[in-house]
Amino acid sequence: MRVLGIESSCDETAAAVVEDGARVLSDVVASQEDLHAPYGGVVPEVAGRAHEANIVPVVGKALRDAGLSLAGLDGIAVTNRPGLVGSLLVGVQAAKSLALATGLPLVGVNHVLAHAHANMLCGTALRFPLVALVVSGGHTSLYLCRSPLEETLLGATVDDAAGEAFDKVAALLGLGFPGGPAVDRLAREGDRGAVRFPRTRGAKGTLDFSFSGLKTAVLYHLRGQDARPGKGANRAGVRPADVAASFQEALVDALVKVTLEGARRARVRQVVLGGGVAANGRLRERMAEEGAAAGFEVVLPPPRLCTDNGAMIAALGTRLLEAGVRDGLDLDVHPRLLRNPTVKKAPPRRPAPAGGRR
Amino acid sequence: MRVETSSPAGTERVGRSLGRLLREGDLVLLSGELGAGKTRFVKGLAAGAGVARAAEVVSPTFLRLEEYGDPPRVLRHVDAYRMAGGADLEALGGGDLQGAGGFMVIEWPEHVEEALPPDGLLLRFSHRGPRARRLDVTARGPRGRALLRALRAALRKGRG
Repeated sequence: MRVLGIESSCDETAAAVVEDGARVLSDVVASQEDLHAPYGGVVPEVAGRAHEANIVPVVGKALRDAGLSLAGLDGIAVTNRPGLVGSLLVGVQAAKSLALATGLPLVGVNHVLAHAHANMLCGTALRFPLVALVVSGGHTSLYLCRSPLEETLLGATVDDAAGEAFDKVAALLGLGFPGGPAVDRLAREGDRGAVRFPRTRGAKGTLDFSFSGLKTAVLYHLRGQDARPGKGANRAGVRPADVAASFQEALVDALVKVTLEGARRARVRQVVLGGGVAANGRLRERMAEEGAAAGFEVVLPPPRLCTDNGAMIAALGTRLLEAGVRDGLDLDVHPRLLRNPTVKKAPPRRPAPAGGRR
Repeated sequence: MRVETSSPAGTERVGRSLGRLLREGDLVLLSGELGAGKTRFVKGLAAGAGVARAAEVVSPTFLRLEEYGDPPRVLRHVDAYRMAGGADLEALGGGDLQGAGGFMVIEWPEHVEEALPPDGLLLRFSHRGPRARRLDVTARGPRGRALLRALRAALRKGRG
Protein backbone atom coordinates (compact mmCIF):
# COMPACT_ATOMS: atom_id res chain seq x y z
CA MET A 1 0.00 0.00 0.00
CA ARG A 2 1.43 3.36 -1.06
CA VAL A 3 0.21 6.35 0.90
CA LEU A 4 0.83 10.05 0.38
CA GLY A 5 1.26 11.90 3.67
CA ILE A 6 0.72 15.66 3.92
CA GLU A 7 1.77 17.79 6.89
CA SER A 8 1.26 21.54 7.43
CA SER A 9 0.48 22.02 11.11
CA CYS A 10 3.36 24.37 11.98
CA ASP A 11 6.70 25.42 10.40
CA GLU A 12 7.02 22.81 7.72
CA THR A 13 5.08 22.14 4.57
CA ALA A 14 5.84 18.50 4.01
CA ALA A 15 4.75 15.60 1.83
CA ALA A 16 6.01 12.06 1.50
CA VAL A 17 5.12 8.76 -0.10
CA VAL A 18 5.51 5.70 2.11
CA GLU A 19 5.10 2.08 1.08
CA ASP A 20 3.43 -0.35 3.49
CA GLY A 21 3.83 2.11 6.34
CA ALA A 22 7.53 1.40 6.56
CA ARG A 23 9.51 2.20 3.41
CA VAL A 24 9.98 5.88 2.55
CA LEU A 25 9.80 6.36 -1.23
CA SER A 26 10.07 10.14 -0.98
CA ASP A 27 10.21 12.72 1.78
CA VAL A 28 10.00 16.43 0.93
CA VAL A 29 10.10 19.15 3.57
CA ALA A 30 9.98 22.87 2.86
CA SER A 31 11.17 24.32 6.14
CA GLN A 32 10.31 27.85 7.09
CA GLU A 33 12.95 28.04 9.77
CA ASP A 34 15.00 30.50 7.74
CA LEU A 35 11.96 32.72 7.29
CA HIS A 36 11.20 32.58 10.99
CA ALA A 37 14.66 32.88 12.50
CA PRO A 38 14.71 36.72 12.37
CA TYR A 39 11.57 36.80 14.55
CA GLY A 40 12.78 34.21 17.04
CA GLY A 41 9.94 31.87 16.25
CA VAL A 42 7.13 30.97 13.97
CA VAL A 43 5.16 33.86 12.55
CA PRO A 44 1.67 32.79 11.56
CA GLU A 45 1.26 35.14 8.64
CA VAL A 46 4.52 33.97 7.18
CA ALA A 47 3.55 30.37 7.97
CA GLY A 48 0.10 30.49 6.37
CA ARG A 49 1.31 32.24 3.25
CA ALA A 50 4.30 29.97 2.85
CA HIS A 51 2.14 26.85 3.24
CA GLU A 52 -0.12 28.10 0.46
CA ALA A 53 2.86 28.79 -1.78
CA ASN A 54 4.62 25.53 -0.92
CA ILE A 55 1.90 22.91 -0.83
CA VAL A 56 1.50 22.18 -4.56
CA PRO A 57 5.23 22.11 -5.40
CA VAL A 58 5.98 20.01 -2.30
CA VAL A 59 3.32 17.40 -3.11
CA GLY A 60 4.44 17.38 -6.75
CA LYS A 61 8.04 16.80 -5.76
CA ALA A 62 7.07 14.01 -3.35
CA LEU A 63 5.32 12.18 -6.20
CA ARG A 64 8.18 12.79 -8.67
CA ASP A 65 10.82 11.67 -6.15
CA ALA A 66 8.81 8.49 -5.57
CA GLY A 67 8.59 7.97 -9.33
CA LEU A 68 4.80 7.84 -9.11
CA SER A 69 1.78 9.57 -10.52
CA LEU A 70 -1.40 9.97 -8.46
CA ALA A 71 -2.61 6.73 -10.06
CA GLY A 72 0.20 4.89 -8.28
CA LEU A 73 -1.17 5.78 -4.83
CA ASP A 74 -3.53 3.77 -2.64
CA GLY A 75 -4.48 6.44 -0.15
CA ILE A 76 -3.98 9.95 1.20
CA ALA A 77 -3.23 10.84 4.82
CA VAL A 78 -3.16 14.38 6.15
CA THR A 79 -2.54 16.06 9.50
CA ASN A 80 -5.86 17.48 10.65
CA ARG A 81 -5.02 18.03 14.35
CA PRO A 82 -3.64 19.68 16.38
CA GLY A 83 -2.18 22.92 15.05
CA LEU A 84 -3.02 26.40 13.90
CA VAL A 85 -6.30 26.28 11.99
CA GLY A 86 -5.08 28.42 9.08
CA SER A 87 -2.02 26.24 8.56
CA LEU A 88 -3.83 22.92 9.00
CA LEU A 89 -6.47 23.97 6.48
CA VAL A 90 -3.89 24.37 3.70
CA GLY A 91 -2.83 20.71 3.95
CA VAL A 92 -6.35 19.40 4.52
CA GLN A 93 -7.76 21.30 1.54
CA ALA A 94 -4.98 19.95 -0.67
CA ALA A 95 -5.61 16.39 0.54
CA LYS A 96 -9.35 16.69 0.00
CA SER A 97 -8.88 18.07 -3.50
CA LEU A 98 -6.62 15.16 -4.39
CA ALA A 99 -9.07 12.66 -2.85
CA LEU A 100 -11.96 14.20 -4.76
CA ALA A 101 -10.05 14.20 -8.05
CA THR A 102 -8.73 10.65 -7.72
CA GLY A 103 -11.34 8.87 -5.61
CA LEU A 104 -8.55 7.68 -3.30
CA PRO A 105 -9.42 7.00 0.34
CA LEU A 106 -8.63 9.86 2.71
CA VAL A 107 -7.75 9.78 6.38
CA GLY A 108 -7.04 12.54 8.90
CA VAL A 109 -4.11 11.96 11.23
CA ASN A 110 -3.20 13.18 14.72
CA HIS A 111 0.15 14.94 14.29
CA VAL A 112 1.29 14.16 17.83
CA LEU A 113 0.62 10.43 17.54
CA ALA A 114 2.28 10.39 14.13
CA HIS A 115 5.51 11.50 15.83
CA ALA A 116 5.47 8.27 17.84
CA HIS A 117 4.73 6.21 14.74
CA ALA A 118 7.68 7.80 12.90
CA ASN A 119 9.72 5.04 14.52
CA MET A 120 8.18 2.51 12.12
CA LEU A 121 10.07 4.24 9.31
CA CYS A 122 13.45 3.01 10.49
CA GLY A 123 12.51 -0.61 10.75
CA THR A 124 11.56 -0.52 14.43
CA ALA A 125 8.65 -2.77 15.26
CA LEU A 126 6.13 -1.02 17.50
CA ARG A 127 4.74 -3.47 20.03
CA PHE A 128 1.31 -2.54 21.28
CA PRO A 129 0.24 -1.66 23.87
CA LEU A 130 2.96 0.97 24.29
CA VAL A 131 3.48 4.29 26.00
CA ALA A 132 4.62 7.17 23.80
CA LEU A 133 6.12 10.45 24.94
CA VAL A 134 5.88 13.14 22.26
CA VAL A 135 7.87 16.25 23.06
CA SER A 136 8.30 19.27 20.81
CA GLY A 137 7.91 23.03 20.68
CA GLY A 138 4.17 22.76 20.97
CA HIS A 139 3.53 19.39 22.53
CA THR A 140 4.37 17.46 25.65
CA SER A 141 1.98 14.54 25.58
CA LEU A 142 2.09 11.09 27.08
CA TYR A 143 -0.06 8.55 25.27
CA LEU A 144 -1.06 4.99 25.93
CA CYS A 145 -1.53 3.37 22.52
CA ARG A 146 -3.31 0.01 22.59
CA SER A 147 -3.14 -0.14 18.79
CA PRO A 148 -2.60 2.41 16.03
CA LEU A 149 -6.33 3.15 16.37
CA GLU A 150 -6.83 3.29 20.10
CA GLU A 151 -5.06 5.93 22.11
CA THR A 152 -5.56 7.46 25.51
CA LEU A 153 -3.92 10.71 26.51
CA LEU A 154 -2.37 9.83 29.88
CA GLY A 155 -0.92 13.26 30.55
CA ALA A 156 0.19 16.51 28.96
CA THR A 157 1.73 19.80 29.93
CA VAL A 158 -0.49 22.10 31.94
CA ASP A 159 1.47 25.18 30.83
CA ASP A 160 4.58 25.34 28.63
CA ALA A 161 5.63 22.57 26.26
CA ALA A 162 9.11 21.11 26.76
CA GLY A 163 10.42 22.57 23.51
CA GLU A 164 8.93 25.93 24.41
CA ALA A 165 10.78 25.85 27.75
CA PHE A 166 14.00 25.18 25.82
CA ASP A 167 13.27 28.11 23.48
CA LYS A 168 12.45 30.49 26.30
CA VAL A 169 15.44 29.53 28.46
CA ALA A 170 17.61 29.87 25.34
CA ALA A 171 16.21 33.40 24.96
CA LEU A 172 17.01 34.16 28.63
CA LEU A 173 20.56 32.89 28.03
CA GLY A 174 20.86 34.98 24.87
CA LEU A 175 21.14 31.89 22.63
CA GLY A 176 19.51 31.63 19.20
CA PHE A 177 16.35 29.98 17.89
CA PRO A 178 15.53 27.11 17.90
CA GLY A 179 16.59 26.89 21.51
CA GLY A 180 16.66 23.11 21.97
CA PRO A 181 19.83 22.32 20.03
CA ALA A 182 21.53 25.48 21.35
CA VAL A 183 20.87 24.58 25.00
CA ASP A 184 21.80 20.93 24.35
CA ARG A 185 25.16 22.03 22.90
CA LEU A 186 25.96 24.53 25.65
CA ALA A 187 24.88 22.07 28.35
CA ARG A 188 27.61 19.64 27.31
CA GLU A 189 30.20 22.13 28.64
CA GLY A 190 28.34 22.69 31.89
CA ASP A 191 27.89 21.01 35.25
CA ARG A 192 24.35 19.65 35.47
CA GLY A 193 24.59 19.51 39.25
CA ALA A 194 25.59 23.18 39.55
CA VAL A 195 22.10 24.52 40.22
CA ARG A 196 19.28 22.51 41.75
CA PHE A 197 16.29 23.79 39.76
CA PRO A 198 12.82 22.67 40.89
CA ARG A 199 11.50 19.36 39.53
CA THR A 200 8.00 20.55 38.74
CA ARG A 201 5.17 18.46 37.38
CA GLY A 202 1.40 18.60 37.07
CA ALA A 203 -1.11 18.05 39.87
CA LYS A 204 -0.41 15.24 42.31
CA GLY A 205 -1.50 11.81 41.11
CA THR A 206 -1.68 12.90 37.48
CA LEU A 207 0.81 12.18 34.71
CA ASP A 208 0.84 15.84 33.68
CA PHE A 209 3.89 17.99 33.12
CA SER A 210 4.58 21.59 34.11
CA PHE A 211 7.56 23.61 32.92
CA SER A 212 6.50 27.21 33.48
CA GLY A 213 7.88 27.31 37.04
CA LEU A 214 11.18 25.86 35.87
CA LYS A 215 11.54 28.64 33.30
CA THR A 216 10.82 31.24 35.99
CA ALA A 217 13.35 29.62 38.34
CA VAL A 218 15.99 29.95 35.62
CA LEU A 219 15.06 33.61 35.20
CA TYR A 220 15.52 34.28 38.92
CA HIS A 221 18.75 32.38 39.05
CA LEU A 222 20.13 34.46 36.16
CA ARG A 223 19.00 37.81 37.47
CA GLY A 224 18.94 37.49 41.19
CA GLN A 225 15.93 37.89 43.42
CA ASP A 226 14.73 41.20 42.01
CA ALA A 227 14.77 39.82 38.44
CA ARG A 228 15.74 43.11 36.88
CA PRO A 229 14.84 42.88 33.21
CA GLY A 230 17.14 43.43 30.27
CA LYS A 231 19.64 41.39 28.34
CA GLY A 232 23.07 40.95 29.84
CA ALA A 233 21.62 41.49 33.31
CA ASN A 234 22.97 38.14 34.43
CA ARG A 235 24.51 38.10 37.86
CA ALA A 236 28.23 37.88 38.28
CA GLY A 237 29.44 34.34 38.82
CA VAL A 238 26.64 32.72 36.83
CA ARG A 239 28.01 30.33 34.20
CA PRO A 240 25.56 30.00 31.29
CA ALA A 241 26.79 26.48 30.50
CA ASP A 242 26.05 25.38 34.08
CA VAL A 243 22.60 26.97 33.91
CA ALA A 244 21.88 25.25 30.57
CA ALA A 245 23.04 21.88 31.90
CA SER A 246 21.15 22.22 35.19
CA PHE A 247 17.95 23.40 33.50
CA GLN A 248 18.12 20.57 30.98
CA GLU A 249 18.68 18.07 33.76
CA ALA A 250 15.60 19.26 35.67
CA LEU A 251 13.43 19.12 32.56
CA VAL A 252 14.71 15.71 31.45
CA ASP A 253 14.25 14.44 35.00
CA ALA A 254 10.54 15.25 34.87
CA LEU A 255 10.09 13.78 31.38
CA VAL A 256 11.80 10.50 32.27
CA LYS A 257 10.14 10.06 35.68
CA VAL A 258 6.58 10.75 34.50
CA THR A 259 6.98 8.67 31.34
CA LEU A 260 8.30 5.63 33.18
CA GLU A 261 5.62 6.03 35.83
CA GLY A 262 3.02 6.03 33.06
CA ALA A 263 4.58 2.94 31.49
CA ARG A 264 4.54 1.13 34.84
CA ARG A 265 0.92 2.09 35.53
CA ALA A 266 -0.19 1.01 32.04
CA ARG A 267 1.86 -2.21 32.27
CA VAL A 268 3.35 -1.90 28.82
CA ARG A 269 6.65 -3.31 27.58
CA GLN A 270 7.63 -0.62 25.13
CA VAL A 271 8.31 3.10 25.66
CA VAL A 272 8.49 5.18 22.48
CA LEU A 273 9.81 8.71 22.03
CA GLY A 274 8.94 11.19 19.31
CA GLY A 275 9.01 14.90 18.44
CA GLY A 276 11.76 17.47 18.10
CA VAL A 277 12.86 17.33 21.75
CA ALA A 278 13.37 13.55 21.34
CA ALA A 279 16.58 14.57 19.55
CA ASN A 280 17.93 15.98 22.83
CA GLY A 281 21.08 14.11 23.79
CA ARG A 282 20.52 14.03 27.53
CA LEU A 283 16.87 12.92 27.23
CA ARG A 284 17.88 10.03 24.96
CA GLU A 285 20.69 9.00 27.26
CA ARG A 286 18.61 8.99 30.43
CA MET A 287 15.45 7.49 28.92
CA ALA A 288 17.49 4.65 27.41
CA GLU A 289 19.36 3.98 30.66
CA GLU A 290 16.55 4.32 33.16
CA GLY A 291 13.94 2.74 30.89
CA ALA A 292 16.11 -0.32 30.37
CA ALA A 293 16.84 -0.51 34.09
CA ALA A 294 13.09 -0.51 34.75
CA GLY A 295 12.60 -3.34 32.28
CA PHE A 296 11.17 -1.44 29.31
CA GLU A 297 12.21 -1.59 25.70
CA VAL A 298 12.94 2.06 24.87
CA VAL A 299 12.52 3.14 21.24
CA LEU A 300 14.43 6.30 20.29
CA PRO A 301 13.81 7.76 16.85
CA PRO A 302 16.84 8.75 14.77
CA PRO A 303 17.12 12.57 15.01
CA ARG A 304 16.17 13.03 11.34
CA LEU A 305 12.74 11.51 12.08
CA CYS A 306 12.16 13.72 15.13
CA THR A 307 11.26 16.87 13.22
CA ASP A 308 7.97 17.42 11.41
CA ASN A 309 7.71 15.43 8.19
CA GLY A 310 5.14 13.94 5.86
CA ALA A 311 6.48 10.40 6.11
CA MET A 312 5.27 9.94 9.69
CA ILE A 313 1.80 11.12 8.63
CA ALA A 314 1.82 8.56 5.81
CA ALA A 315 3.09 5.85 8.20
CA LEU A 316 0.30 6.28 10.75
CA GLY A 317 -2.19 6.97 7.93
CA THR A 318 -1.31 3.61 6.40
CA ARG A 319 -2.13 1.80 9.65
CA LEU A 320 -5.47 3.61 9.86
CA LEU A 321 -6.36 2.95 6.22
CA GLU A 322 -5.39 -0.72 6.60
CA ALA A 323 -7.78 -0.92 9.53
CA GLY A 324 -10.57 0.49 7.39
CA VAL A 325 -10.68 4.00 8.82
CA ARG A 326 -11.86 6.58 6.27
CA ASP A 327 -12.66 10.26 6.46
CA GLY A 328 -15.00 11.99 4.06
CA LEU A 329 -14.62 15.25 2.21
CA ASP A 330 -16.10 16.94 5.27
CA LEU A 331 -12.88 16.17 7.19
CA ASP A 332 -12.45 19.04 9.63
CA VAL A 333 -9.40 20.50 11.39
CA HIS A 334 -9.01 20.59 15.17
CA PRO A 335 -6.65 23.11 16.72
CA ARG A 336 -6.30 21.31 20.04
CA LEU A 337 -6.09 17.75 21.26
CA LEU A 338 -8.84 16.73 23.59
CA ARG A 339 -7.34 16.41 27.03
CA ASN A 340 -9.51 13.52 28.03
CA PRO A 341 -10.74 11.40 25.13
CA THR A 342 -12.72 9.20 27.52
CA VAL A 343 -14.97 12.13 28.38
CA LYS A 344 -15.35 13.65 24.95
CA LYS A 345 -15.15 11.49 21.85
CA ALA A 346 -12.30 12.07 19.43
CA PRO A 347 -13.19 13.55 16.02
CA PRO A 348 -15.71 11.29 14.28
CA ARG A 349 -14.41 8.40 12.29
CA ARG A 350 -16.42 6.43 9.82
CA PRO A 351 -15.45 2.82 9.28
CA ALA A 352 -15.25 1.91 5.60
CA PRO A 353 -18.55 0.75 4.22
CA ALA A 354 -18.60 -2.88 3.16
CA GLY A 355 -16.81 -3.33 -0.13
CA GLY A 356 -14.61 -0.27 0.37
CA ARG A 357 -15.13 3.26 -0.80
CA ARG A 358 -13.85 4.02 -4.27
CA MET B 1 -5.05 50.43 39.80
CA ARG B 2 -2.19 48.44 41.28
CA VAL B 3 -2.65 44.90 42.60
CA GLU B 4 0.06 43.02 44.50
CA THR B 5 -0.04 39.24 44.56
CA SER B 6 2.17 37.09 46.76
CA SER B 7 2.04 33.81 44.82
CA PRO B 8 1.11 32.28 41.46
CA ALA B 9 -2.15 31.12 43.06
CA GLY B 10 -2.84 34.73 44.06
CA THR B 11 -2.24 35.89 40.50
CA GLU B 12 -4.63 33.20 39.28
CA ARG B 13 -7.28 34.42 41.74
CA VAL B 14 -7.15 37.95 40.33
CA GLY B 15 -7.61 36.41 36.89
CA ARG B 16 -10.63 34.52 38.17
CA SER B 17 -12.20 37.74 39.46
CA LEU B 18 -11.73 39.40 36.09
CA GLY B 19 -13.01 36.35 34.22
CA ARG B 20 -16.32 36.54 36.04
CA LEU B 21 -16.83 40.09 34.70
CA LEU B 22 -16.13 39.41 31.04
CA ARG B 23 -18.75 39.52 28.36
CA GLU B 24 -18.80 39.20 24.60
CA GLY B 25 -16.52 41.63 22.78
CA ASP B 26 -14.24 42.31 25.75
CA LEU B 27 -10.51 42.67 25.28
CA VAL B 28 -7.82 42.06 27.93
CA LEU B 29 -4.15 42.80 27.22
CA LEU B 30 -1.44 41.17 29.32
CA SER B 31 1.99 42.73 29.18
CA GLY B 32 5.08 41.57 31.05
CA GLU B 33 8.17 39.52 30.45
CA LEU B 34 8.78 35.77 30.54
CA GLY B 35 7.73 34.14 33.77
CA ALA B 36 5.71 37.14 34.98
CA GLY B 37 2.53 35.09 35.40
CA LYS B 38 0.51 36.00 32.31
CA THR B 39 -0.53 32.48 31.35
CA ARG B 40 -1.17 31.64 35.00
CA PHE B 41 -3.49 34.65 35.14
CA VAL B 42 -5.38 33.38 32.08
CA LYS B 43 -5.91 30.02 33.80
CA GLY B 44 -7.89 31.88 36.48
CA LEU B 45 -9.58 34.10 33.93
CA ALA B 46 -10.83 31.14 31.89
CA ALA B 47 -12.12 29.39 35.01
CA GLY B 48 -13.81 32.59 36.23
CA ALA B 49 -15.43 33.09 32.85
CA GLY B 50 -16.63 29.49 32.97
CA VAL B 51 -15.08 28.46 29.65
CA ALA B 52 -12.39 26.01 30.84
CA ARG B 53 -10.85 24.47 33.92
CA ALA B 54 -7.60 26.15 34.95
CA ALA B 55 -5.58 22.98 34.15
CA GLU B 56 -6.87 22.98 30.58
CA VAL B 57 -5.37 26.36 29.78
CA VAL B 58 -1.88 25.99 28.33
CA SER B 59 0.67 28.40 26.95
CA PRO B 60 -0.45 29.53 23.49
CA THR B 61 3.09 30.39 22.39
CA PHE B 62 3.38 27.55 19.88
CA LEU B 63 0.03 27.91 18.17
CA ARG B 64 -0.26 31.67 18.87
CA LEU B 65 -3.97 31.12 19.48
CA GLU B 66 -5.84 28.79 21.79
CA GLU B 67 -9.61 28.87 22.05
CA TYR B 68 -11.74 27.73 24.96
CA GLY B 69 -15.48 27.37 25.50
CA ASP B 70 -18.48 27.08 23.22
CA PRO B 71 -19.98 29.87 21.10
CA PRO B 72 -20.92 32.53 21.84
CA ARG B 73 -18.93 32.37 25.09
CA VAL B 74 -15.51 31.67 23.58
CA LEU B 75 -12.21 32.81 25.04
CA ARG B 76 -9.56 33.53 22.41
CA HIS B 77 -6.16 33.39 24.07
CA VAL B 78 -3.59 34.95 21.79
CA ASP B 79 0.18 34.98 22.32
CA ALA B 80 2.00 37.61 20.27
CA TYR B 81 5.41 36.62 21.71
CA ARG B 82 6.52 35.49 18.27
CA MET B 83 4.73 38.05 16.20
CA ALA B 84 6.48 40.92 14.49
CA GLY B 85 3.61 43.30 13.77
CA GLY B 86 -0.09 43.87 13.54
CA ALA B 87 -0.40 42.00 10.24
CA ASP B 88 0.52 38.79 12.08
CA LEU B 89 -2.39 39.28 14.48
CA GLU B 90 -4.79 39.97 11.63
CA ALA B 91 -3.59 36.89 9.74
CA LEU B 92 -4.34 34.78 12.78
CA GLY B 93 -8.04 35.49 12.75
CA GLY B 94 -8.62 36.08 9.08
CA GLY B 95 -8.54 39.79 9.90
CA ASP B 96 -11.57 39.69 12.16
CA LEU B 97 -10.65 38.29 15.54
CA GLN B 98 -13.04 40.49 17.48
CA GLY B 99 -15.86 40.16 14.99
CA ALA B 100 -15.67 36.42 15.62
CA GLY B 101 -17.49 36.99 18.92
CA GLY B 102 -16.47 35.89 22.38
CA PHE B 103 -13.78 37.70 24.30
CA MET B 104 -10.08 37.92 23.75
CA VAL B 105 -6.92 37.95 25.84
CA ILE B 106 -3.66 38.95 24.17
CA GLU B 107 -0.25 38.31 25.71
CA TRP B 108 2.70 40.43 24.48
CA PRO B 109 0.33 43.09 23.01
CA GLU B 110 3.24 45.47 22.35
CA HIS B 111 4.31 43.18 19.49
CA VAL B 112 1.08 43.87 17.62
CA GLU B 113 0.27 47.35 18.96
CA GLU B 114 -0.93 48.83 15.66
CA ALA B 115 -3.58 46.12 15.19
CA LEU B 116 -5.08 46.23 18.68
CA PRO B 117 -8.72 47.21 19.10
CA PRO B 118 -8.91 50.53 20.97
CA ASP B 119 -11.08 49.57 23.94
CA GLY B 120 -10.06 47.15 26.64
CA LEU B 121 -8.20 46.52 29.87
CA LEU B 122 -4.40 46.50 30.01
CA LEU B 123 -2.54 44.66 32.78
CA ARG B 124 1.20 45.09 33.14
CA PHE B 125 2.87 42.30 35.13
CA SER B 126 6.16 42.82 36.92
CA HIS B 127 8.34 40.63 39.12
CA ARG B 128 8.48 41.57 42.82
CA GLY B 129 10.26 38.44 43.99
CA PRO B 130 10.38 34.79 43.02
CA ARG B 131 6.63 34.39 43.67
CA ALA B 132 5.28 37.90 44.18
CA ARG B 133 4.03 39.96 41.25
CA ARG B 134 2.71 43.45 40.72
CA LEU B 135 -0.17 44.02 38.31
CA ASP B 136 -0.68 47.56 37.04
CA VAL B 137 -4.15 47.77 35.57
CA THR B 138 -5.15 50.56 33.21
CA ALA B 139 -8.24 51.14 31.10
CA ARG B 140 -8.19 51.90 27.38
CA GLY B 141 -11.60 53.22 26.35
CA PRO B 142 -15.05 53.18 27.99
CA ARG B 143 -15.50 49.41 28.34
CA GLY B 144 -12.00 49.21 29.77
CA ARG B 145 -12.95 51.81 32.38
CA ALA B 146 -16.12 49.88 33.29
CA LEU B 147 -14.12 46.66 33.66
CA LEU B 148 -11.52 48.42 35.79
CA ARG B 149 -14.22 49.76 38.16
CA ALA B 150 -15.88 46.36 38.39
CA LEU B 151 -12.57 44.58 38.99
CA ARG B 152 -11.63 47.06 41.73
CA ALA B 153 -14.96 46.44 43.44
CA ALA B 154 -14.67 42.67 43.08
CA LEU B 155 -11.16 42.58 44.55
CA ARG B 156 -12.15 44.85 47.45
CA LYS B 157 -15.10 42.62 48.22
CA GLY B 158 -12.87 39.54 47.98
CA ARG B 159 -10.51 41.00 50.59
CA GLY B 160 -13.23 42.17 52.95
